[in-house]
Amino acid sequence: MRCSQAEHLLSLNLDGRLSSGQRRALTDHLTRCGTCQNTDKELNDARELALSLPVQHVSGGFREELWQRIRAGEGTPEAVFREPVPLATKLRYFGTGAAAAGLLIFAAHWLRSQTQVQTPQSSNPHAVEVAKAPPSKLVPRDSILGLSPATPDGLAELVADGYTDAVRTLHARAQAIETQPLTAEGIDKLRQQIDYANRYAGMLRWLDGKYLNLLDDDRDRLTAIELVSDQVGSHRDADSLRRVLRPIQSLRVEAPRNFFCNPCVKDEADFYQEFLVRLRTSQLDSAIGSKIQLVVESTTVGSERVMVYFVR
Amino acid sequence: MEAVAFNRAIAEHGEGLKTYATRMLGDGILAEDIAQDAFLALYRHMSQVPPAAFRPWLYRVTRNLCLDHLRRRKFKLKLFRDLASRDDDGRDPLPADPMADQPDDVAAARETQAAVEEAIQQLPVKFRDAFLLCEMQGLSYEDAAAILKCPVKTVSTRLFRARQRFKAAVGDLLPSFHTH
Repeated sequence: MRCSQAEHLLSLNLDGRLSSGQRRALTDHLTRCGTCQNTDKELNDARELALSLPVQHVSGGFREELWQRIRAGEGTPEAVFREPVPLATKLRYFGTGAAAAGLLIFAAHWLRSQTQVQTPQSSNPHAVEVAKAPPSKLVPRDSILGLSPATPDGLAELVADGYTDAVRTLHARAQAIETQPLTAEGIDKLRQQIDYANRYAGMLRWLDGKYLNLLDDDRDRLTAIELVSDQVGSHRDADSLRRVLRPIQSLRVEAPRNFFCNPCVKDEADFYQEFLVRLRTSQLDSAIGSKIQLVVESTTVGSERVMVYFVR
Repeated sequence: MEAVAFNRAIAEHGEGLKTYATRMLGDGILAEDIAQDAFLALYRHMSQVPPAAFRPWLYRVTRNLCLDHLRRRKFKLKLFRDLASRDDDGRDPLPADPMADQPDDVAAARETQAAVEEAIQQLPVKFRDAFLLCEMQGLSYEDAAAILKCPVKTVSTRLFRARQRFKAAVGDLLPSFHTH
């Protein structure tokens, strides 16, 4: 036993708080350690000295005066139940409050996004008309609703502009390439289309977890896009491409529903809110050797406005 | 029935509370007021406090009142240097000592007492709390822990530290100090 341990035990021993085993160990130590013997003696002497201080007697009128206060109806002094609050506790309270406030803000923001996502698009009578309009520039939410976006403006613009550019480019290509033979140039163009879809998938993946929560289905589709992209990239001639693409029956890329809810909105909300891109590569098999045609259609699937790209 | 229990509580704990408050504040007159406030609070909450819990309850309330006083008035804790003020109370602060009937002995005893009081006052409040409750008032570790709102182990540690500091402060007054 070290002397520092023994001194603590000596203090406990003064109050009779040692177990028999501890007391025996302490006694053994004291028989061998003169320093601790002196400490024990000093502790006992110090206690006697402290206890020699006089008791403070209450004055003769203490009890009567107290009863007078009681009869007079005097209430409990305010400070009776006022506990001192340590600085650490205050800091803890502050931290907890700040965290709770942050959580509330986050929850409110998330709830608002969810509410907007669940608004049925088909309820808008102008959906079809809007869908027919060409894609145009996205408009920050705060400029429409007077609300500040929850994400940094720069990031919101980056996301909005990136997606807008992608959609515009795809749209333009789809209209420009109507009928083309499946040549090396055609393969390149197909590869471009898939690369384009792949970039879109990369953008979605980048957003996932930051501003979006993709469903499992969405993630599966992203994987499918990558798969097609890799296969097309590794084949240069039409026959090998045909073999690769044959087992692929269908590929659909669906924009997550809350994609446009946060951090920005668009002026053609009904169209893009449920934007779908479908690359039906299964039809390539019969088209190879003759012509390939990319058709752009817009239609309604259930309650959703759908943008469909057929590759024939 | 309540009045009987209340009067008994005054008789049993009045002096202890005043002594505790005096050592916390260094002011006997104020300590008596605070003890009275504590009893007043007890009377108003008699129905909520079982008689067995009167003692720790009263000490806890007294401690709160003392701390409130220390905070609000930023007491510069003085010891009983101003012995005259206590003499004004008409009480002898020293216990009857047949051997100390000479003026020199009385003066020496008062100096010793003042030094001990000062040593207690110099303890940090946390340590002083544990020291006054356990060492001076004889409360159990468990009761002190309930009053101080801390674990029993903490009371034990604070008391140990308080004893170390107190022993060091009054070292030259201890008989054992002069023997080695």
